[in-house]
Amino acid sequence: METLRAAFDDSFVAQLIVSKTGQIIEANHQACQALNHTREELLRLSHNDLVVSDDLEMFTDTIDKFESGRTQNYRIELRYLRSDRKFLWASVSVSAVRKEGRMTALLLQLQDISEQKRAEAALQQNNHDLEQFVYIASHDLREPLTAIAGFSTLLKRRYSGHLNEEGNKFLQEIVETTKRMETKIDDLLAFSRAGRTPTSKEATFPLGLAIEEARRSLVRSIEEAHVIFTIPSDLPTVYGDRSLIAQVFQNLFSNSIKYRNLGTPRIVVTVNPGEDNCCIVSVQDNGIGFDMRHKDRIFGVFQRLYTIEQYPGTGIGLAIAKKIVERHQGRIWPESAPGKGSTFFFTLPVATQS
Amino acid sequence: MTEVHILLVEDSHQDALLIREALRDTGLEHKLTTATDGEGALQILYSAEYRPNIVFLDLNLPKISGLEVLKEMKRDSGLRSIPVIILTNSMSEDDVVTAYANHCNAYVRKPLGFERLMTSLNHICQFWFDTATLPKHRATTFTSSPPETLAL
Repeated sequence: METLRAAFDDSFVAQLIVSKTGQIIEANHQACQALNHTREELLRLSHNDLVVSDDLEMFTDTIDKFESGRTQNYRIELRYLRSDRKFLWASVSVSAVRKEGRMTALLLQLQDISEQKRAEAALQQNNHDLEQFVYIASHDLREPLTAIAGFSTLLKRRYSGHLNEEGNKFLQEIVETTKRMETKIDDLLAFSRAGRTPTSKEATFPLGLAIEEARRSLVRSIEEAHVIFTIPSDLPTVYGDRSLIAQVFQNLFSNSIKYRNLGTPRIVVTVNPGEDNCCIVSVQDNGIGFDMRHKDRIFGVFQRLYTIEQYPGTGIGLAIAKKIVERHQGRIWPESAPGKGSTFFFTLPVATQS
Repeated sequence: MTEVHILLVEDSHQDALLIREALRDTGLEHKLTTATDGEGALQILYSAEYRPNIVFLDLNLPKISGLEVLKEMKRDSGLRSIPVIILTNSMSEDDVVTAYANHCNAYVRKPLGFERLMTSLNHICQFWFDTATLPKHRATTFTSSPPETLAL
């Protein structure tokens, strides 16, 4: 008993023992520090007084689970209100103290996760602000661009006869650059929409439908390049937004076609089971590939490994694909080598394995 | 085709100028009236002397928004039958859905480049005046003060 007592008191983990009615029976030094109370104060308090009211129900539910013997050990996240009115966000591991098989009290081990929670909230806010900014900026930028594009092409239409060859060349440069800017702005809008589009978590769809949708939207370039697809017939049903996932396939296929080698382009789709009820989808091609030094850069907005003259496009496709996959709680990564083709893998939550 | 009356509701001076020039180059016989905000547009529409055959309406407008102008026009039995073409930079899903829900006749994103603008405007006018059947009230030419001054 003495050793147990010492283990409780001297532990580096904040620990509380709480009675079935919620009274705090014991608190160690770390717990007092974490909650900014003396031991005497804590022993006079009920655990419910310390927990933020919104989180109380979660805790009482946990007690019920213990009493009915449905669980032995449980971890929940609770917010505590400290005596200095600051919040302690804790990951709480709860276990039952039992006497002759009956639960008499609960042992609570509190791990301070306030920093992590604050960082997560700040990051979420940042992402949200950034998306909002991208949307507004790209929308507002398009307005003056309409005028620049309009007037430069109007100038060309009405006055190109008054300009010499050089003047016309300069004017043409303005027209071309404006077009490029339009594409970039539209791509930015598409990128911000990929993050904003509400996805229904309950929606499921057969993965094959998304692949078909992607192929249909690329039908012209697929025919022109004589692409040979290999797609498994037994595809799973997955959770997510079908048209967004179709966009992922579309971006991957269109890259495979754009960065193809001499010879017949081949695209092979495979689906393998992964961890946590996810599947791993891969899209493999026999294209020009790339150096894995660039494996992170390629997912950046407007990042490209080749000049626009070699391969047209703004370089937003993979950034959009990544954003969509991450919105589905998945991840995306490549495997490639120059001249050896590329394979892109991404994970998706599976509804039913076919 | 007889002369058509077009009401353009556009707050950007540059865009209004481009649209005016583009309409001119379509060769379509027309009379163009411009309002620079929603309030001005409604004043023109409610003036007895003037009735346009078609309205090109921007959404983002000072004072009264384009959406409010649209709602007002479609509420008014005298104005309801005038085709309202939303001509805007916005391609937000919300704007498109709301505009159609409020009975706009078409939602068009401002095309980039003079020739594309001209083609769009030409197609729209061709459709509404050659293909679609519109109610038979003729546009009346204004006799006294031109509507542009009403908009100020």
